Amino acid sequence: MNSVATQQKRFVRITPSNNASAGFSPDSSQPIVRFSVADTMASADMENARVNFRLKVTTAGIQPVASANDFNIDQCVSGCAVFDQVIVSSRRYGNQIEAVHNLGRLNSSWYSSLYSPKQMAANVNLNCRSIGKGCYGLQQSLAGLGVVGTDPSHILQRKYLVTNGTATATGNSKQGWNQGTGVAAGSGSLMIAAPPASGSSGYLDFSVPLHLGFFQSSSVNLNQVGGLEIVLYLDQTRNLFFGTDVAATASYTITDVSLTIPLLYYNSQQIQAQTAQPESVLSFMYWTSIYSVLDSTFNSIAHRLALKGLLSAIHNMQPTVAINNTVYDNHALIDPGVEVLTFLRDGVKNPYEKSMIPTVNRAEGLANKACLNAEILNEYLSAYRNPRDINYTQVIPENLNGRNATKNGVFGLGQNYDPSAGAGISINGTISYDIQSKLEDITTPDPAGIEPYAFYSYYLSRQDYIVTPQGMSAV
Amino acid sequence: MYKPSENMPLNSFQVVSPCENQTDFRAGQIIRFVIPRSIGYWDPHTSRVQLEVRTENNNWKMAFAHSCGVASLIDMVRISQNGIVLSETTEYATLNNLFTLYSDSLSIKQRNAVQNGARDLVTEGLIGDGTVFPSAAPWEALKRQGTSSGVVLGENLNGQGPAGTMDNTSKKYQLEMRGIGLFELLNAIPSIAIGDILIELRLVNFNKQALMVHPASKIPHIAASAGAAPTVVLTPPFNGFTNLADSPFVVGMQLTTATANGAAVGGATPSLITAMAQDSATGIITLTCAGNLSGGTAGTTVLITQGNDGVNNLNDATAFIVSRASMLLQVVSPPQQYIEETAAKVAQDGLILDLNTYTTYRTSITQGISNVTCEIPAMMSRARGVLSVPRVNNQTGEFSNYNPTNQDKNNILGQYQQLLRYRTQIGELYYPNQPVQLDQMIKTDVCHFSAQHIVELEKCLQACKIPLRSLLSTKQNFVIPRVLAKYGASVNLEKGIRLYLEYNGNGTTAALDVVSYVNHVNRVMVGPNGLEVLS
Repeated sequence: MNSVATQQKRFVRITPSNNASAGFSPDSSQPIVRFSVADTMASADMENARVNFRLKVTTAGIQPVASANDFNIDQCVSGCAVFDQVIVSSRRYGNQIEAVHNLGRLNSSWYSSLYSPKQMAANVNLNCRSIGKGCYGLQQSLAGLGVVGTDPSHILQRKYLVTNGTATATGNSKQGWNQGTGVAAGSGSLMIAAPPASGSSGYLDFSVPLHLGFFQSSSVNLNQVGGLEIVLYLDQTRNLFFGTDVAATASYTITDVSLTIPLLYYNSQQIQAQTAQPESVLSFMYWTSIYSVLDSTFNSIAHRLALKGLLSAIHNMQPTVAINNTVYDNHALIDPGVEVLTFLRDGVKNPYEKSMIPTVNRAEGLANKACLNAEILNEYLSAYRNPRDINYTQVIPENLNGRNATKNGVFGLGQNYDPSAGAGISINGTISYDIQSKLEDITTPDPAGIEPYAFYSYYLSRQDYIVTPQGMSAV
Repeated sequence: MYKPSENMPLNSFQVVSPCENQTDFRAGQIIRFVIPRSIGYWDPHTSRVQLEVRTENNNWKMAFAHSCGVASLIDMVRISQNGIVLSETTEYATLNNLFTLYSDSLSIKQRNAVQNGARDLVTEGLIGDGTVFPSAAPWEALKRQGTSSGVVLGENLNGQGPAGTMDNTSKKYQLEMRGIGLFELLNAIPSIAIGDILIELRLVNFNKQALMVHPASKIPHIAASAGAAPTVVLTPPFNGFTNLADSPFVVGMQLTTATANGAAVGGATPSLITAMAQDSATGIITLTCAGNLSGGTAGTTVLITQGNDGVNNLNDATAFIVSRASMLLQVVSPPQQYIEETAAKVAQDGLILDLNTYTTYRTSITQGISNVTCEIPAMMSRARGVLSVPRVNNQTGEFSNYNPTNQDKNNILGQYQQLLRYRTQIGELYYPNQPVQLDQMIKTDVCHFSAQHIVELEKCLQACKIPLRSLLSTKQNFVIPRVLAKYGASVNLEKGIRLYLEYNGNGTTAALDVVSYVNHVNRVMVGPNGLEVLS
């Protein structure tokens, strides 16, 4: 008997357990989406799990977005940013496995660090409808950002929010390619030809991965973990969109929400082997998200942590005034003007026995700096993997300098504690950051002024659980 | 991205190991690093070199001359232990440039530009208002000397100094030691067993070999009120730079007005830039000049005509200085039990490291000869491939009346020169038995490539462990490949290699300097009696 044939791979499509016929919305409807994944005898490929939905955006009341509106969404995360918090827990045992807050900014770091502008426009676009930041060819070779409202790249990204069937006409390489045309609300078919009536609700489909640590495992034993309860909290509208045409009554709704997961069902021998084993160990990656504030040009941020397999950490920043403010891109990763950066562990320089000092002209404003901070940014990228092996990223000169740096931004800080083995180290103490920065006021803007910056930290670590019939306990 | 791993956790930290011999290094000098035995274990794949580089005496803003960025500075890399050479590669800039042009797609070049300061030439694409870049000299000639994507915008060697003056402070660049076997090993290196390792980087002999003028210096820039007033306004997006500090403009330079395709208008004396500013909110750059440009003759663009000392050409004394060199070493601390086991194993069985090595051989081709034989006296026993780069010979050494268009920039690209066919001979055996035909590449006005050449090139690069990701420079950086073994194997080159080249017509139009890199494995054996290298 061919043992391969006894295992079956299936894509399961799960609808929310709190399904709302009117869709989910942070303003007018249910803002939480819940999925329950049964504890079947199967292994789940969480890496390839996707949350699917269709997005309807309105500027004021039921008014759809037009391409001429200054109504924008971040070019890296786009539709991925609709989820602000995600909590994963075990259905059977009730243990919380992972909880990530400010997921949009984690996603923003993820996409801008690990995908090139061309990959964003070509590959990621098909999932998240994002066009990426930066140019990728001769025909787009002009560097620097124009005025946000009329900048071609923002208009191109905006096309994915235009769901009223209006043809778009601003020049760029995807001219006239209006993704939202003709998709009527609740039609059940993406191929429907008739455009919706004026002011109606054309939808655009998204299929986004979740970049939680737990979702980096390609074989999660659903029986051992006792099934999953996944709760997704929607982002606030004022945190998701920005531009002068984002009215106070602007909103969005996601409908036809589902979660698809590839499952590999166990064969009878595997099931027998599992049931014969009363105790098992499960390992997952997970993110710990912490929010802090840089409010002084000489600042020390300390995080007290107890993590068994700490691998790496990433941090990104933006002015606090920009949070939940529709004037600014809430998913931009802004350099506050770092001048000296030191990573410490229990008061000792670690994992780098140095202070990083960019060769930047401190007299100049952030929009007019030439320094590319290679020293800092290579360590930032090392949080994902060896920076030498990161070939594709949007952390590129064009996005780091000029107005792109203060409007769109792809800057971050990061460190890797175990780049050689990738297993993670045990830590039970304080990780701190001594940061000397300009904290330049980019929102006024006033190159001589300062303003506080939000400091979002995400620690990636490994967590082991022992599972017994009595429950699931962290090691 | 990381997944749950069963690997043994390795506590790891990065130390900065400064160079041993001096602080300021100039052209031709050698930077020496020592990786001491006492460091224990270190991870070479995550270690890299950091160079702080500045320029002096330049009247135009400068950038690294080649697509490989900061590697343009490096002529030779030698790794040794107690006098025994583990690997030595000369003409390293040419090798690194070859990796960049064949193994890096545009996206990878953009990513690497953050750390290596690589900067494209600006010879193609659009000028600010959508006008196609002028198709005229010297831009046409420059197209053959480098890529022009407009989006590889590494950090220049000069930013913006106080009040818009030339900034000659040091800039930090990081260098991945591509092609240097020791730094390509994926395992932790037990220095404790090998002993002190000496790493020597010799800088190129002439400043011109490493530097060029900011590529956007002599191209026309779209500007409002160009000529009609002493104030020139440039609105983003820009061509060839991202902001004022990144731009080629410096107070003291002189501007004139021009047409959209760069032809000068008006005949009056150019006007001196007296002040510069950039608006933080809009990104608009304002250049204030001493008077109306070109005597008030309006144009759609502005051109820089003189450097900040009022001289047209680059100052001959322009030089680079590596003001600080550091090795960023990733030190790992395995558990004590592992260290003891390794030490015992080395004492009993020895330690073997296979280093992927490039050894350089040079030969020259005289101008006007159509049939050429190049001898490559490589006798190593574990060879995998040969890459020959026929560079331009007889290039001037130092800057001398250097035109800021970069039309006379140092050229380390392989020259095609109407090569009709090539093949190699090892001992008595010709391989391939029929020469590789390049007929399709002969035509000068079209971009046809020889499929046979590309197949041979890909085979050779793969054998040398170089991922092939871009064929854009197949003709621009012409490389003659010879694969020696496949599937990770190697051959014994006990009889040397001969390279037969047949040029079209009357032969080469210029003398060539053929630099051949033989990729081979150097086996380093560490035993109780010391270290031995089998090449």
